[in-house]
Amino acid sequence: MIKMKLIIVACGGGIATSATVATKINDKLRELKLSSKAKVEAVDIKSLDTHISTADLYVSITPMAKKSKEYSIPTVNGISFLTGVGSEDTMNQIVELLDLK
Amino acid sequence: MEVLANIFQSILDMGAAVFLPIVLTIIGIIVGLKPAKSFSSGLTLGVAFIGISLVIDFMGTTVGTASQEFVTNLGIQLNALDMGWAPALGLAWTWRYAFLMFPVQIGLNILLLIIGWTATLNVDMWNVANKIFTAYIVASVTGNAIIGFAVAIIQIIAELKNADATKNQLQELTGIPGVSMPHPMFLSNIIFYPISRLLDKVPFMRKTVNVETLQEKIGIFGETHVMGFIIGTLVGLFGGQGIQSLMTGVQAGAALTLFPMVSKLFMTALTPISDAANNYIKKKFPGRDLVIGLDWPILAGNSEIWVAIIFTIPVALGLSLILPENIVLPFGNLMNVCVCAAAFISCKGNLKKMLFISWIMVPILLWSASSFAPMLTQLAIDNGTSLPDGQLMAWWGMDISEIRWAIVEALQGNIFGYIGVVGLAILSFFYFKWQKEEEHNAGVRMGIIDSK
Repeated sequence: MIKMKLIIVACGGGIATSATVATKINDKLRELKLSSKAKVEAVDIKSLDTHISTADLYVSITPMAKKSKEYSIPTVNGISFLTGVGSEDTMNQIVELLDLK
Repeated sequence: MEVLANIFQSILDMGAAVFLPIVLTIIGIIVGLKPAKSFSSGLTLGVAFIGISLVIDFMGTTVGTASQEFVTNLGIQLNALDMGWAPALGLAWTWRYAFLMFPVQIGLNILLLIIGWTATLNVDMWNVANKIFTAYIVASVTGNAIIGFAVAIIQIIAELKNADATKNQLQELTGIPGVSMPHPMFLSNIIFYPISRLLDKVPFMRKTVNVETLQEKIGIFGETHVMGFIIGTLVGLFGGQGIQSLMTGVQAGAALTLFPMVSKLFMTALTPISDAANNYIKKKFPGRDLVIGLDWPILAGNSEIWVAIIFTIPVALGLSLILPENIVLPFGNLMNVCVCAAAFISCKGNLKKMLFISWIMVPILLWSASSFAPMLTQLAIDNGTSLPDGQLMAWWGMDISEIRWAIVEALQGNIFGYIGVVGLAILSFFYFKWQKEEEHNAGVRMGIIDSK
């Protein structure tokens, strides 16, 4: 059996915004029949370093105009899941980066 | 007929955990979700209510009991424990009229879009709870739910207006075009922004500090469970528990870790519904440039916010022990975002100014939390939480504490409440005038507005 890929989304408390995005990505994975290959979890950004070490992909919803941090796993900008504009493209990017198909 | 009425009454009597999943399932089907999906979402909401009730129970009996020993030992009067924003807003959904706020917010937002009073479509459904909370506390003191909704409607309009008035500045900070932030916390900037301007006159305040290195030094102390453990252990030690305090520490860490886990279920339950509603609205406004209103965490990558929050914790704990008339021990909301994230915008990330504002807000947050504690405790009890005798639950660091407090006091005929409301109105006038200037400047810096 292949190990399930873990995607994480972080926000201020791991409660509201990140959970919204996690639910949306999980739904899309289900639509694409990929929910057995990957799952998404909402986490607390204050413990991000701990979660990064066990995850395969980080969906960031905290963009910075000037400085951006480097992480040890691939990172995708997930703002489109909040605004609803361009979320299909972001989803394709996630599927590709994790090699789910 | 009578049988039906009886069944209906029994379901209502069982409370939000049974009643609201049914409501949500029906709403889901109305907005076009598949019945199975709708039922699953609805049931998730019920699970979230039971979860919240369990964790508040746990917190009341473990950390709550320890904090009672702590207060008797120190001879102070702190019988209300701060449970933080997540369970407080979660409980707001259990209010009898809570779900009516959905159509009120969405309907009002659409109306304002049509008449051109706002450019923002608020898609942040979690913070509908923030309006419910306002309506609930107003209804509690006036005994009239309609007045509660009236105040909530003013809040909705003010939030959208404020979101419109700051969207260029937000774009400059985050780099995302076409979004704004209608979160209520940013209404506090009506007060914070003038303070920030005043502080600019002090040369010491103008100098910025490097926060990245500061945040690295703080490290694990900023993590929720570690923070809970430290506070819990301290409470235990001062409460005379001896080595047993370590257990209180771990329990406190557990309470703070478990809260997000159950609270995120609210969003899992509400997201499909809000998605369907938003798609519906967007279809109604084809071709129109809508600014999408989001919750605050798109700012959460800025270290200044977290550093300011952490450096406020000792002030909050220290003041809670000595401030007259305070009954609240800050705990669940020690990582208090609502002041620092708002001040981050007003102060443009200047840490010294943010700390100044955050510190002077501490007593106001304590007094307002003390004043609202009995109402919040009532909600928790109505949701089936059983608390030890004399134990109250509170929310320290409530969003727009100062504004809600002024309004509630004014509605009860308190003269200071009137002064507060009038003061706010005057400040709002200047605030929105200054924001026009700020927006123009931000637009020019980004090159989206001509400099002339």
